[in-house]
Amino acid sequence: MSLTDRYVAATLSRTPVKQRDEVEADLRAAIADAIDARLDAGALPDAPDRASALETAVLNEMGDPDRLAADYADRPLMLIGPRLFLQWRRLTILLLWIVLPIIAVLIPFGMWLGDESLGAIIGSTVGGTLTVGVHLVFWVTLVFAILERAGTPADELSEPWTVERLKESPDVRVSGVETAVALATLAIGAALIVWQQLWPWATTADGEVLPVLNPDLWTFVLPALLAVMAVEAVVVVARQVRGRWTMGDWWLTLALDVAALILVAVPVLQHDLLNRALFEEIGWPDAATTVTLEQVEWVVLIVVAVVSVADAWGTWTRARRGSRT
Amino acid sequence: MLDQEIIAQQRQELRRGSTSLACLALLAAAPDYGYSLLARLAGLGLEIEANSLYPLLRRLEKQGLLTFEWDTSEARPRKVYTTSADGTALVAVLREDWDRITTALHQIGQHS
Repeated sequence: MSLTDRYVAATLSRTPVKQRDEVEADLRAAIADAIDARLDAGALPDAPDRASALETAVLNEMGDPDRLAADYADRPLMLIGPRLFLQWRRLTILLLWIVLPIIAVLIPFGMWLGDESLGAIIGSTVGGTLTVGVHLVFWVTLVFAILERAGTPADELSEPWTVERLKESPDVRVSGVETAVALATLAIGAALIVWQQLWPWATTADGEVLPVLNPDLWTFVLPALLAVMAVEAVVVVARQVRGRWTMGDWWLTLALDVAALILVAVPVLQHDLLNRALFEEIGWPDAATTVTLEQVEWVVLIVVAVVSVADAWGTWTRARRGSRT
Repeated sequence: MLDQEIIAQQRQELRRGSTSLACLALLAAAPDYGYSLLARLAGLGLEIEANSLYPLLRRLEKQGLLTFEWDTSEARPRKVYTTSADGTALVAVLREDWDRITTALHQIGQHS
């Protein structure tokens, strides 16, 4: 096999099958023409094996066969080009911000329920979060690399940029989506509290209703929680109407978050958040699981705590930026 | 002191796009095969690497701006390209732009 044969074979192995015959003939003619031109011009007259020396020189000039094949097939020589790069970066960063904190909380919590040692919990949390992060970046990148090769235009992935996307100052304006999400969350939370009482999961043999939450809590905790949620909803709507975040917002939100946290924490610490009668009736937790009702109550408290802290933190950073302008 | 790398980079920017126009115009004047076209371009001072020219010709052909026939009259078969009617029309359009840019740049030169 001559050098030219090897060069052509290397190029064709990266060329779509349909184009191979054509590219091969084209390429062989190109190489032979280039060698002939050099022979005629009298290049390298003293080389011992002139023909082969000229062949080497020509092929070196043609360069990397992979690059040549990509040029022939009009394939991009990049993973994600400037057309899609910004969308790729935004989506990757957004997903990392959403998914990694959840993983970093869920892994240690699950292991804590499983009575693992502190060292194992820390190790698995770091390792697991890293693994999920690497997977996330990989799969997003893979999808975008495919979109790049499919020639998907950027405006199919997101609206074209307009000045309306400019923020007066980062995060100062109240977004309608954020308000809607906050109101929906509050409404769903309140509905769940009411619903579990009015349409109970189970009833006893003699027809007594068995809600999920301890019915004794209706004397104070649950109505107070609903009241806190109602005030929070008013604050959210008022903020949307006002259009910006203020320090007053932050103090009110902090007070409401603390109130909600205390209202949930007190029954959890007294082990009477969940309705023990219901769980006896349905026979869970049974012998097959090591989970206890106390642990489930702790999960509820931790979720409420995380949400409260995130809410207070988000409000604080925005109110601070908003009050600066 | 003007950096050689900057000169090379700017020159490449300036030439990018002119190669297609030159190929279309030359092949409209006389049909030709790859290596011979390379020599004609070089003769005009428009040096281009062989590994860029061959894929470029193929792309222009896929876009319908060039047509080709296999020339089997010699020892090795060669693709002989000719500029199509579309290609010729494109040359006319681009040539106008080219002239406009040249005129504009000359005017700037006179004012400064």
